[in-house]
Amino acid sequence: MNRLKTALLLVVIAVAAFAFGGWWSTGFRTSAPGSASPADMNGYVLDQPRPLPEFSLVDQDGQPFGPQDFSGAWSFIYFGYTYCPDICPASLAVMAQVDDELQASGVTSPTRFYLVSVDPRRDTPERLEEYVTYFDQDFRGLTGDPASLDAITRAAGVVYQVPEAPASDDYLVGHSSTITLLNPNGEVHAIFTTPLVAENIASDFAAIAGS
Amino acid sequence: MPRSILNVVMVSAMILASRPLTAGEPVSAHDAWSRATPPGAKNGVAYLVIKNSGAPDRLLDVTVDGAVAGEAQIHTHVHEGGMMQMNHLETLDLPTGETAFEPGGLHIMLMGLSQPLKADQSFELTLTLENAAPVTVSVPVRDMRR
Ligand SMILES: [Cu+2]
Repeated sequence: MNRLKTALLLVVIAVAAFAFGGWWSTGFRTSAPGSASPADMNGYVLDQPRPLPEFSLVDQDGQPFGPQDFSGAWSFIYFGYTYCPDICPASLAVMAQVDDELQASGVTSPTRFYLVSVDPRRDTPERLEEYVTYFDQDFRGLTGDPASLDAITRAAGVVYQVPEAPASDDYLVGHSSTITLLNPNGEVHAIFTTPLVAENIASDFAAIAGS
Repeated sequence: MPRSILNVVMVSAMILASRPLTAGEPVSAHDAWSRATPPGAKNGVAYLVIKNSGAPDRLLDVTVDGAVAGEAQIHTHVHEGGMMQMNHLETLDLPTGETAFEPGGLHIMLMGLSQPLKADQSFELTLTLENAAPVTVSVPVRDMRR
């Protein structure tokens, strides 16, 4: 019993340390809302866009996806998982509304929208495909092994926690509920934080992208 | 004379019988809804407002038709360490007044959906309380995409 408790405590400490470390190493902690952030933005623009590290994810068609595949368009990325019934679908709906808002207001900068699943044990490419396209035909889904997910989430300012060895298939996953914006060079450019409101994100994006 | 007394008794009985069983019960639920789910979704969610006009009570259990989902659980969200984490609550205290289940907060999680939840369908949830009588509420499903 005591050994179990100790093990549990160690897991909790490890997770807390990981979360804190992720937060710390992103460097966001010290950067006050960047001077380039639109006024009243829920989130911030990084003072210096941050290149992504190497990683190897897989997309909703089962094709490999690396950091360079983000280049050529602004990328809105939400990190979550498809077994999440509440904040993930709500956030993906917000991204679909952002897409609508941008089209309605004539923003011409090319954009792409992604869900990165931090739960590869359950979220296969097929599963991701039917999930993301429910929100928009053009939405894309990515996932990958823990090392690649750690690399991209750390760079994107996101923390998550998946149970190491779940006893059953209905475990819960903790994750940041933010939208990371990459610029067309594939660098982390801005972070939108909660509450995620489509019209605010769309107008902040128009200011950030300059059209 | 006896006849008119009988009439009064019968009418009174009919009025009493036509009142809903829950009338006068201190706990009720309103504004229930559920989010339509993408194809293949394993979990769903329901929201509602529980109104307790009596003494503090406790929600002990929520049950859903087995044809809809395997299990209904009381969940809340905690925001800590930069993460949103869902927590399963065994029971939930219901103070006098309203307790709102809403996106990003308290929710009824439907574990193991038999089929995706489609807009315009509805299902029932039954709330078991420590003191008040059970409450059954109809939950309409809404497409919340755009
Ligand atoms: Cu939940």
